[in-house]
This record gives sequence, structure tokens and C-alpha cells, in this order.
Amino acid sequence: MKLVAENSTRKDNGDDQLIPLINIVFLMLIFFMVAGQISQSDATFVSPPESIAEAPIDDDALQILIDAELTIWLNDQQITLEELEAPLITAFEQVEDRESFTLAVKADGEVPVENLQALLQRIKASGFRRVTLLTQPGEALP
Amino acid sequence: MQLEAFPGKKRRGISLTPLIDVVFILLLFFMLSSNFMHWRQITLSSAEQSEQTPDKIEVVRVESDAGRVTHAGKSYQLQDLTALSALVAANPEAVFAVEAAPEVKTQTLVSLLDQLHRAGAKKVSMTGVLP
Repeated sequence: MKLVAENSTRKDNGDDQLIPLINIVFLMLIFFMVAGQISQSDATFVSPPESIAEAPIDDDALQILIDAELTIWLNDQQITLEELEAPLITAFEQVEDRESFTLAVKADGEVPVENLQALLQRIKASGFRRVTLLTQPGEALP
Repeated sequence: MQLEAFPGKKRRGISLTPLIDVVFILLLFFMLSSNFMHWRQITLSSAEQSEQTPDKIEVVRVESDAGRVTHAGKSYQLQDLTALSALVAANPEAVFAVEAAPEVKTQTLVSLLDQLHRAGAKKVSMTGVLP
């Protein structure tokens, strides 16, 4: 039928106009595939303090989060300072290499130091010696 | 017999729509799951450090987020690396224990740890985490 034939010609033209769009989308796709790294997202948003520290993070470390609202998170679950000890000891008993068992504290840069120290003291009271604070690279002060 | 003058013109290419659909879905997936943050770490205390007792502890205290730092009654500025270098040079082997006044943010404390490292301090520690 004549009508169908006309329609199909118009559709072809529509596809042709999409090619620049596809080019851009492909470029974005390649950028995100190459530049980004896929990792598990945190339970809460944490904006870490900036530091000139260059030490790469320990991927096996158990992470404890403390966000700007002073909420503490362990294994994607909200936890209070008093309840922290038991799950830490359970995690410690489950690992094979106990010598290198590290706790990484992911604290927001806005957290008051006294709250961070209360958390660190609680960790220390549980008997853990290897504790690190996670940061992101930033400019050094003048 | 009827011959086609331009057979190529009648041949239609593959429709691009399914391809775009799939590419869009891939793009969305990578946009949402990609992470561009580069994490670094500062070691606060380790087993080796806690076994040995430090010879001398110099307590450096951050007073405010503006960067006022005090040590042994003298006041310093966090941005003033020369003064901090002089402080470290006076006693390079000491452990510099950093403490903070109430309400000082973690960012300021981390900046002080950085500045002390830049000033040449070999051992920097946080009080309360100290052995």
C-alpha cells in the first residue's frame, strides 16, 4: 500500500537523525566504563576529610562509617556506640589472618573530633590495634 | 522483464532503535554504579607502635577550625608551615600527640596531621588512640 511505503521512508529519516545522539551516548558509555570503578555503595553519604596522605586503602579492612549526623554504621546497619563491641569481636573471630585485621573508620570531615575519638576509644577498648582513618586526596595547605 | 534501476536504494538498513535502547540501559547502569572517589588512608595506631613506649610526647592542640594551634603555651597558625617546622626541628624524635578542643572538626585535625608530616615530624599520633 502506498500509505505504508511513505511511512517507512519517514521512519528511516528519523533513524538517520539519531546517529549523532548515538555517537554521544557511546562516548559517554565508554567514559563511564573506563573512568569509573564499580563498587558497593556506602550505607550513608560520607564526605571524608581531605589529606595529602598517599597510602592506598586496605580492601579487606572492616569499615565503620560515621556520618555528619553522628550516626554510626557497621555492615550497612545503624549501630550505637555501646553495641559496637560484640559485632566487631564476631568479625574478628571469623577472619583467618588475625594479625593483619584492620578497622577502617570512614568519618565525615564535619564530625567533631570528640565524637571521632569516642568511637576510636571504643574500638581500642575492644582490643583492636590496627585502625586507619579514610581520607580523600586534597590540596596541601599553603 | 522489469529491472530495478537502483537496487541498493530500496534496501533498508537495520533499525537503530533496539541498539539505542540497549546502549541507554548500559549507560544508565554505568552512570549509577560507577564510583569516582579515590580513597586514601591514615594509620592512626598499629600494633608495632603500641608496643614501644615513646621517649617524649609533645602535645599539640587545635583550638579552632580557623587553624589556631597551641603547643606548650605558644600559639601557632595551621597555615604557617615555617613556624611548625621550627617546632618540629626543636625535637624531631618526639611523638607529636594531636588533641583537639571541643567542636573542632575532623577535617581540621587531619589538616594538622598533614602539616606536621610536611614539617618533618616522623611520629604523629592522636591522643586517646595513643598507647
